[in-house]
Amino acid sequence: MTLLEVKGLRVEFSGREEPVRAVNGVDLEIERGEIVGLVGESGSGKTVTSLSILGLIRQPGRITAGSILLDGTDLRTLGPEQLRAIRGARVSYVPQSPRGALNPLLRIGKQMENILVSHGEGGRQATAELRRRTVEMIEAVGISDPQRALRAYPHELSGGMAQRAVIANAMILRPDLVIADEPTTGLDVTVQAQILDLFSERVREQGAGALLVTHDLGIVANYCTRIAVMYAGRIVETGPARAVFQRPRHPYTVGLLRSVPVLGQPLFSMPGQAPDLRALPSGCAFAARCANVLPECAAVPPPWREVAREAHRFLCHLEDGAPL
Amino acid sequence: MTTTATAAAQPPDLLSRLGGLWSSGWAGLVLRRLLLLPLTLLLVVTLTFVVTRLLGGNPAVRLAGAQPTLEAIHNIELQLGLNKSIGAQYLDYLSGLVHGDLGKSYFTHQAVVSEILNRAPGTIELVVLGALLAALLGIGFGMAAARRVRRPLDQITQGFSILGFSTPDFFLGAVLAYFLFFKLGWFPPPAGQLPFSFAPPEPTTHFLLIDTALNGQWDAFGAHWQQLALPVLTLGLIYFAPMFKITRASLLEILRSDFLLYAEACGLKRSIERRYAFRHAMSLVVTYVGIIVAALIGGAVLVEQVYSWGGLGTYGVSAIQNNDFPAVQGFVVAVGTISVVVYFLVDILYMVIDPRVRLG
Repeated sequence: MTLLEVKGLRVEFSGREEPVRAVNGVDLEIERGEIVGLVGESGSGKTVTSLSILGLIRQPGRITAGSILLDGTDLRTLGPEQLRAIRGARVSYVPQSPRGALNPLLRIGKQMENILVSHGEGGRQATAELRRRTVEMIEAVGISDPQRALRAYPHELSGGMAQRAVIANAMILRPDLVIADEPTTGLDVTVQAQILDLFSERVREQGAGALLVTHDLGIVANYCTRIAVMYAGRIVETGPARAVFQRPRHPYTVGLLRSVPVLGQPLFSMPGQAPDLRALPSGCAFAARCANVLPECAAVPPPWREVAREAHRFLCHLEDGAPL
Repeated sequence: MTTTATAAAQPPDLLSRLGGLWSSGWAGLVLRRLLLLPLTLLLVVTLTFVVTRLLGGNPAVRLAGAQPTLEAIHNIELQLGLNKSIGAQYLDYLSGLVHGDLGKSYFTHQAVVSEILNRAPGTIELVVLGALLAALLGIGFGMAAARRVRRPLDQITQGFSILGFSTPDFFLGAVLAYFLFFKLGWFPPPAGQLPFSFAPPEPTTHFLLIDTALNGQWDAFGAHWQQLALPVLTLGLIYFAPMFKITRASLLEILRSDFLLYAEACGLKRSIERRYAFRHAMSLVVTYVGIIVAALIGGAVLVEQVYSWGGLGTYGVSAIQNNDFPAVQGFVVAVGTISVVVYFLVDILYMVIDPRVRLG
């Protein structure tokens, strides 16, 4: 059975003005053992999509439609306590800035123990057992002096160490699905590579599935088996990472790939800006910026098109996608 | 820092050990704060000395009676040492202070130290209990309101806190005394700390709550609690307002914070999550409790007046009105000392709550 199956997800943020459709009908599938890269500009709905899967959309946001099936169970039908029991244990989360996410007042070890205790591990007589597991996990994320790291407060850790700590938090209960939201922003490139190596190794070793939210196409190319490209709250292209990189179809994906700097060539930047999510056109949201726009694009919603035999799909009026 | 450097160069002796202590987070911070204490107090004393002298008004004139002769005034000045230069007076005062002598009141001829020892404890009891009540109410309702933004409970408590902000404490004191004592008779008359029918206990600590208990005078103990009830309630209700506001605001911020979102994403138990939020809110709340206690030690005068408390604030006001220099200075030194100690305790608590502060 598919590990995660998101169907027709819509998330709206209602304020005093028109509601903002942050996520506007997203379909997403993740199998065990694969790392799916979710790519897009800021504001495209990547983070909102990943928080929806965790059931963590806060007021004034609201999931208005769709289903989120984890091994066939719709998470939207579960009560708050059932959801809580799943979070951290079966579906875990690696945050964007670990030092802002970890509790500044508690030692790293205590925070890990709290996660274990919250999911029914340990109990009063088994403190030693809890300790042993945290030490083991901290070692597994490549921290050489686990005792010291567990005794440290978050502000005493470097960015890379803190990132390792939250990965340890995410992995300690051997989750089925890990959602990582830009887990390496703000890290040095070398540390970034170490962390991502570690992350993908942990995920594979545990046979979990992962959603890696990023705006860095280089990361997707190196670590992801599949890619999903988001634009204005929708997924506009998805497929095996190799296929998409070899022959991107959606004009937006083409633009994104061309925006990756190449040594010796002038940097390409996509014209225009992300659309206002309060007033989306009835047709394709990308039409206004598209270099290959057709007369029907602005008014008629684009259809899904499949690239033969490759599980590679894109949302566009152009039959074969944008020319390269 | 320099202390550490010089200490490190010497063989391990007391000095270098002190140096080590100095630079090691926790103890060092406490040590440095302790050393700052007398310095702060010296500054307070000096300032008061200068200000009382600048205020003008000659206490000798007041003491000399209705139609004083110049000679009489001069004699009194000689007696009180007011004829000396300001510098000499200041040095006299400082040397007295070092020996625990704050001088004698010009009017009562009592040692200022003993007058203050008699009056401060009553005020401390009142203010600490009032601030604790305010904190309990404020934290409780603040936390409840933050979880129910713009729902009835939140709006009603917000209304009460606006009332608290806009009502003068002595007015609420008078209103409570009028209704709860005069009209309903639920509480004893606002006539001081202990009704006249009770013999005051042996003054061991000067705190009536402690001294009555030490002597086993339980009926006096109970009577003192009854006397405390209304003024404590007054302060509690008034200072509930800022405590409520600060708790509600900081908890709201915490509930929206990244780290609580992450706590939720880790599926932490509600009880653990609540503990996280509470501890964060506390670091700000503790500071405010400290500020309120420190401000009220000398500043609860009007409430003290309404309840004939005879506390420190009352003493300070009459000392100023009388140009009673030693008494004014004694009052300021007492208030200053208590405030500095309170802030010191707040800092310690702050360090207990938040490890980031321990870095110094």
